[in-house]
Amino acid sequence: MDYDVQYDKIYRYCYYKVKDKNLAEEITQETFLHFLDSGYREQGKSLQYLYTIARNLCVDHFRRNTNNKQILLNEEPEEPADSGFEEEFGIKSDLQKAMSVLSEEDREILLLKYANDEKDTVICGLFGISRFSLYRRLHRLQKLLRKHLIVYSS
Amino acid sequence: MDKELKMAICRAYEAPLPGRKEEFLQKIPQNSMQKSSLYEIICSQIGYIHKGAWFSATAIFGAILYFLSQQEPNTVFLCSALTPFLALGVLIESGRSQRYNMAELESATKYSLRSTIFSKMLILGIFDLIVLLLIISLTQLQKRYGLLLTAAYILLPYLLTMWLGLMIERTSFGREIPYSVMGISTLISVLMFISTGTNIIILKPDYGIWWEFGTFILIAEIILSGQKRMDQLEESIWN
Repeated sequence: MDYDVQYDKIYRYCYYKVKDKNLAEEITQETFLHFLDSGYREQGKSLQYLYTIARNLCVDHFRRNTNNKQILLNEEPEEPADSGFEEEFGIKSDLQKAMSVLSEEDREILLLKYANDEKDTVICGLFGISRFSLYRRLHRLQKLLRKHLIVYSS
Repeated sequence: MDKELKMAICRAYEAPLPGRKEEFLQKIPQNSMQKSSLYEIICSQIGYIHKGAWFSATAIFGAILYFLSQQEPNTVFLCSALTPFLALGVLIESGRSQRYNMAELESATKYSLRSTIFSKMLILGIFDLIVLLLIISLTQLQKRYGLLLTAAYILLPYLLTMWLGLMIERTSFGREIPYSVMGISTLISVLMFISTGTNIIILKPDYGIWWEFGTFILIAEIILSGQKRMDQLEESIWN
């Protein structure tokens, strides 16, 4: 496993959860420290383990500070420095509207699958679903996003 | 999902660059998360395979070479009758940890029991495959049957032993497993010898399609069976 790559993925995942750069980075680092302290023995599930730790730490954070939960529900994420593609094609805002229709779990699946480029086995393991179920879900999400994108863009 | 939508989703999840990444990565030990490659595991395990496994496989190959040199009309079936003992070597080796009550201890070692057994089975499996391919090519020199049929005649008893052996290892516990596996391989071997001696109808090339069909089915079954066995060993990892 490459630390460098996994750090970015876990950080992106945490950022998506907490919507705060510093907090996301803090949780990411805590995730890795928990992982290293756990004495995990390699058995091909280190990524699932990392994501599970990160997810639990985010939940812990929200439990400690319920106000942050409101932020998660209401606030839009910080704008990244460069968002040329979507602005250029006018997709991003429509896409974000379309994605707000999806459930939390569906959005998480999209993040893992496309933004973090995770293998299907990792996603299936995290959500406890079969590959077939994942394919069906992705297909349904694609259709749903397309449908809402057409509605919002028109 | 189409490319444009995928890219848009990636961008939608884009996060600002982390500021303390390099600093953090320099602080933590770099090797603790590195996964051992299959090659490393295989190299480490090759020395732990019991010498008897190599010796028996070589002895069987020697016996088969002897049969081939005799130029008997039933050479294919005589060679085929010995192949269950090749499978026996793999099965005995894969069950060694359980036989000596070392499975639990091996679960807590650097390489998990699953990796150890998988690598040992892979090493011996590849070795057997080379031996079987050699036997098939040498038998094929007699040009008695087609290549596919010769391969089916040679492989089917081996595969049948392997499949039944894996099934026994998966479903039974205790020290009796090797005896059951030995019994199975001996039974298959003896049946092949008897069939060769009596020139039973099933050995006629007219029934070759069934041998070929059976070989393909058994290959698929062994892959599934091996997968199930590995999944079963996963329990030990999480224990």
